[in-house]
Amino acid sequence: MIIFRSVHKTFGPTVAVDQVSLEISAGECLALLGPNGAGKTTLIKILLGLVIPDSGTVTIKGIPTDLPASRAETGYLEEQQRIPSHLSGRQFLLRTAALLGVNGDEARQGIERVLELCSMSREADDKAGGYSKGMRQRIGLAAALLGHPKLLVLDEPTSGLDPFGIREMRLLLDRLHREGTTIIINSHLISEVEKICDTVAFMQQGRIVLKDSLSNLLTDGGESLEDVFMRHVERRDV
Amino acid sequence: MSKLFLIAGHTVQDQLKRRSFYVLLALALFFVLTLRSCYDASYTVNGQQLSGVSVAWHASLLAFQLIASGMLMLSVLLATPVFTTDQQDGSMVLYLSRPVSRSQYLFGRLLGVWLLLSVFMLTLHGTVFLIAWQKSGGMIPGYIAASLLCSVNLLFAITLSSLFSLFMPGFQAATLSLIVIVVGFISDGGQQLLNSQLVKAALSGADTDASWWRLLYPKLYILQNYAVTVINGDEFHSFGPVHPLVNVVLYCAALLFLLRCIFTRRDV
Repeated sequence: MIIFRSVHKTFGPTVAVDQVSLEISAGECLALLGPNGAGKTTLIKILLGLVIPDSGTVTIKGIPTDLPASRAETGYLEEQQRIPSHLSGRQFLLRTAALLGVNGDEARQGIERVLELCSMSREADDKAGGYSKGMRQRIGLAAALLGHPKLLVLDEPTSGLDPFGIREMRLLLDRLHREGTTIIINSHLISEVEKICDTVAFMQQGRIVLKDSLSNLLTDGGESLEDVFMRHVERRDV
Repeated sequence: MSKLFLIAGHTVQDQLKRRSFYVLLALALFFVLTLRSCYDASYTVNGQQLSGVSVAWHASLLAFQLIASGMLMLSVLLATPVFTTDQQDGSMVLYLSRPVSRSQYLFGRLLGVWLLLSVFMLTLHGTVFLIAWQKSGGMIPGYIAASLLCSVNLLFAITLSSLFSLFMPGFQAATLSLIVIVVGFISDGGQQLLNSQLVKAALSGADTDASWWRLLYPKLYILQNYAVTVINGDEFHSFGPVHPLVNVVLYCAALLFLLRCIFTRRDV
């Protein structure tokens, strides 16, 4: 479904993504793990067409990501969700729905559905300027779920959520994964992604150092994913 | 195409939610309404009292010029922060992570600001038009058409300040845009003065030809003057290789092209 071919991106002298080639199948739930500054967010932004790679190609269902059509069935939650402060959560979702070509009753029903899923129905008409970080994250997730996306890209989805929120998020992602949605999660919470994802990719210094299924990685001697991660990824303070 | 208009609509909504917009609108309307007193006063020139119609006519032309020039400054002030704000409040990610092309987003935003400011200017000019109608009992032909002509100048100011805002902080971008506009006004105003019959007679023999950069410079002032000739029916004298409307439209097209080229290569 998603193919990265020799993707390379530098910011000045810093190599953010270094010749990454990666394939993600439809229905896969992939966790992108790595230390700070490993290039995970840049890779995700390249997938969404927000960052332009210096070289290489990325396609979603065969459509290059520089074409807007590649994002027609993609939901995205950014690392620290921002919502214009003058908009309410509902207005933000209405805009998102309109951009996806969903309008009228269909949009209203879809918005009620995702607000319910993200437990934000009561606060939906409040101005986003008064939202907490967790509430913004929930509205961001609701926006990502609008229009029944086939691909969900989540950059640090549990950032700002309380333990209840993290659990709700996990259950929701688990359900979406079982329904066949392709999910890419960029996270630092190894224990959480271990419960949700079936594949992990470790990134370090812009390179994918390992990509394998959880079942393959966790067969040896009762190691946890954290142990495997520590074994493959060197600690480098950034 | 529908996404372009959708984003333009969002832009208008966003601008209308800014308190500063209403403050500026109220100030502008207050200024226009104070002009009403000009129509009521009696004026004597060379011992002859001017008729009410003549006063209304000249006051309306003066108001037209003042509004058109002031709107250029307002365009710069409103357009400069659009993309910076979008980057800060997440709007840019909202649009560009959905099935929206960068061109649709860019031109949608610019179209929204342009439409809003053009309607703003039309409202102010329309108010003057109605006051003049009420006070003199006669309509000023071409007043509204002239306002629409001046909206091309607004597009220039919007695209120029947006382009600068991609490279420098807002204050610098706005200042630089205003400098470009003011230099054009001074240069073309001066050139027009030099070409007037009175100055030509006084400076007989002096070289009053414009230098090449003056001929090619954005002709905002001359376009505004052309719009005035649409109102008063005077003969229009221009200088430069092309009509000022063509000049400003070409500049707008070039700026839009540049903006698109730069924006489609930028990381969000």
